[in-house]
Amino acid sequence: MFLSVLFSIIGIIFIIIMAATWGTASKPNNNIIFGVTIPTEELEGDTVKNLKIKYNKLCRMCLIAAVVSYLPVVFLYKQVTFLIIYFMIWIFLIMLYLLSKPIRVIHRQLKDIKIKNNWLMGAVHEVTVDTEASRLKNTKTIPVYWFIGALIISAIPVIDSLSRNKDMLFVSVVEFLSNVILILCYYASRKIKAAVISRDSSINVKVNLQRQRMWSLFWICAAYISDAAFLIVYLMIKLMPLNTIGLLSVTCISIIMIVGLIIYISNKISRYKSAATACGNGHVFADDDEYWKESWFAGLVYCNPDDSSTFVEKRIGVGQTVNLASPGGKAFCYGGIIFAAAILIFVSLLTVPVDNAKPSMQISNSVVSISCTLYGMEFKTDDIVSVSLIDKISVGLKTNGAATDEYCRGNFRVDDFGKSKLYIYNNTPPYIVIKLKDSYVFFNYKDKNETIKLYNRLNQMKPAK
Amino acid sequence: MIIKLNCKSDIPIYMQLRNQIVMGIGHGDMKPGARLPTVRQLAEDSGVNAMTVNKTYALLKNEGFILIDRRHGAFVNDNIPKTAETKEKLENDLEVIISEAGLKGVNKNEFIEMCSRIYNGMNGIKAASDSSSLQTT
Repeated sequence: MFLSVLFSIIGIIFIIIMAATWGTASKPNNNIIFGVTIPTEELEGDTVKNLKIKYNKLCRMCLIAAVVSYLPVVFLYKQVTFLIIYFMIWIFLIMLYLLSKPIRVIHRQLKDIKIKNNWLMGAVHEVTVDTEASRLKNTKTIPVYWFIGALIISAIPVIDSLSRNKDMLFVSVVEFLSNVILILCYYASRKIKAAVISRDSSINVKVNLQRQRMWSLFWICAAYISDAAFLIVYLMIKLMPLNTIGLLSVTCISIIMIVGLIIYISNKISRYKSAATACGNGHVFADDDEYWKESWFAGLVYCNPDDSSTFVEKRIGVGQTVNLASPGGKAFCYGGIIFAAAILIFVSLLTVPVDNAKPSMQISNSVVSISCTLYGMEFKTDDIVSVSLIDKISVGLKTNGAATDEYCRGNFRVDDFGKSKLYIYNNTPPYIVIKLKDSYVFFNYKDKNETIKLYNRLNQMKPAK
Repeated sequence: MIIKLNCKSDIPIYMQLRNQIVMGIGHGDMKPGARLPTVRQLAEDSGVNAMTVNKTYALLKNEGFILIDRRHGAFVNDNIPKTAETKEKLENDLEVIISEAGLKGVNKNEFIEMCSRIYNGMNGIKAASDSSSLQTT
């Protein structure tokens, strides 16, 4: 159920991002509409109006398709294996394909119309630079040392884990290291070329300084939001009984804040640009439409071998994208795909066998062995301190294992017992409790009679307390 | 000042950059004393290799159009030297331009009228000659 709720929230956020991205394509941005540069007088012309109608229709169809294709996740929440694999497919294939479909279709049509009508804007293969905007680049950017606070916040869980309980040390370190990635993104975004949108240098300077400042602010805020959210989650886990809804809420709020910040910053930059250019004279165009190509999974991609930049401003959507012709761009894009695929495979390899495992306990003369994919264990019968039967169990934090509505398998903390290994079907009492020297083992079968039979067998070796 | 570089042109990039900066000074888009971006800034924003930008700045410095200060970077020379070599080089360059123009049908009057029109548009040259005549009087 938890997994289903989490996936539903992620699905809703994806659909909102999809709708927001579609919205940006149909709004003119410095003569660029649907990712194509066209003359100013054509922006309000019949051609564009007709394309907008077609585009809105395509968006509605893709939205319905996205929601309908999501429904299996809602109804089949009990089949964990299916849920995880289907959700991954939904995100990577269906959502990315549906997200890019209206953009690809209309972009292609407008590009063909542009070629047919010879609406060439500015010179091709031309690079334009404003020397003043270049000289004053990053002079108003928020300095990098503002990350120090975020690093301190993310260091707290690491220090706490090192000094006390190492349960969450790995994730704490990963969270701390994620700041390194954000700092790299901060520097990469500083290197984005100063855009030339007007013949008036003062306008170019103002717009670029504003853009650089806003994006530097974004990376720093993103670091603070994610580190603060992680710290809150960490403290909630350490100091309170497990509150799934609370943890989920904190995670979702932080994601929404970051997405909201991207949208706010992009809108602010866009409005500032419009206001600055409205009172200026003469737009400067460089028609590099040929370098923007349709891609079935990314909408529009930028690939310009004559451009050494790694990051460029997106034409559709908000934020920045990579130049696929640059080494950094290729690494970022293909590395990201490989990383995502690796996570998908890794998660599937971990969860699918565990989900389909049927834990069983074998007792020989002196050894008890529990077989369960990835989380099996063995212990000597001499290590058993006591064996008992309980009807209720309150499972706390999962440290390393698999927990669904149906079962708990792996390493957990159980209320009133502490560090334990669980091989139980939830809500199917009784549960066998085996006390070992320094931990507990909880075991049951789906069939109550099988559980009692096993308990009796264990009892013959050690008396119940 | 806006600089435009054509990646597919036969003219090398460093020469295009040099020409654009000289024209910018001539047109008055870059005033005497105006600062230029650093090599790294210009390389980053133009997508041109830093060595190429460095070469351009070295060339402009040798020709006397810019000065380079270690602390403040490059800036437009407010006293561009007038040398005899300039006139000699100009004559050589003009021989080629005039030959080409003449052979392709541009007559003398058209050529002189074109030169006059372009020269009159060079606000930077007018300002420089006004200030030097003010100094001599």
